Amino acid sequence: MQDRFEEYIKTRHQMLDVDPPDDEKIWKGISVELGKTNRLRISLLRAAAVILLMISSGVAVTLIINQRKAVKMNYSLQNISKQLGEEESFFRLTVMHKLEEVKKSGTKGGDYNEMMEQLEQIDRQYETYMSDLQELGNQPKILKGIIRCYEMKIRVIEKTLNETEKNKHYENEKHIL
Amino acid sequence: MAKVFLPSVPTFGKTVVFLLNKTDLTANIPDINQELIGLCIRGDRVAQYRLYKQYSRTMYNLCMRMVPDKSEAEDLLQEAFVKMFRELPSFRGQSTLGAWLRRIVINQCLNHIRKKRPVFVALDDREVPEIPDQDFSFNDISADEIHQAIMRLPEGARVVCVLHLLEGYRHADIAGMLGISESTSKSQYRRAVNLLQECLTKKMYAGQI
Repeated sequence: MQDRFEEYIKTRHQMLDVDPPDDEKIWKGISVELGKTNRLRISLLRAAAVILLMISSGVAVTLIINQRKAVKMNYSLQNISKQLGEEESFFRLTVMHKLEEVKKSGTKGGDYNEMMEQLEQIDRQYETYMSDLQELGNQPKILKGIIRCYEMKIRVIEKTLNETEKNKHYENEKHIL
Repeated sequence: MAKVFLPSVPTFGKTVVFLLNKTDLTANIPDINQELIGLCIRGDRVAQYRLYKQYSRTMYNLCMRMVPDKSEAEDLLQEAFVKMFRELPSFRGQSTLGAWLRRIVINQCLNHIRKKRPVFVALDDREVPEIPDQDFSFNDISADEIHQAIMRLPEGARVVCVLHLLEGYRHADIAGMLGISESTSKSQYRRAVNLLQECLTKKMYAGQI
């Protein structure tokens, strides 16, 4: 009998959906939930758009800065006059040679660090002059300032070399005594 | 034309044989709601409502049989539809939309039942006695009476009964879904059928039907 009973219920399966749902209430709930999903999706899209905008702005700013830097780096006194260009090349070479001498002299520790700090400071000043040169044109004050930067660098390096020499002599004398 | 077995389709205990071309197996089943589904994915609220209306009654009654509490069934149905609409873009059409939604509804109900309390007490795998065969007809039992009787069954027996008898799941599948043994599923089912039969035949004898 049980099999007959089961078969009977199976055949009635399609008719068992007798309870009517409260469609209005249920659909309202569904609508609200789906609205939340849409709002969340829109918020996420907005957030993504803002992030994208920030990234692209950042990239654009970096590109502009790098471009300006590149222009500044390529700019030299050669752009103004041949004579100034030659003068600048001479100073650059002198600085390089002097720095080589420092390396060979074995300057270390405090003296070396102090020299490097001073050179960096002069480099910063030099960059400021170069920016001014591009923005304001080749005014004599600026040009003087640039040449002075090279002179100062050479003086700082020479001073360090002298100090190293002095130290060497002092150590030798101490050793003899 | 070749005979092809489709084991994933609920079979009500019997092997269902479909007459299909071999190529039909690899192809997705074209859903009659294809156009409606497309609109729903694009967020068309009218299309979503039409789809809801198409399945709401069947799915609500399924919820009621799994969780026989009006308010809980309404909540579960709402959650199931929201889940379906959200996951609709991932619907591959390997089954009909109705079958897919049915599985979502059943999963929602099972999760709800699991959260509430453990209900599947094993019946020691012992044989549940069948009600002796009597000579009467069930033809006078109405669908409403069957529906009500199912809802009055104890929870464990009811869920197994709905899944096996009405939804066509095999006991091995039900055991996996509910985290019980296959024999527990069978004994719960036997118990449910006995109780149903008892309840409905008593009413017949009492002249209530």
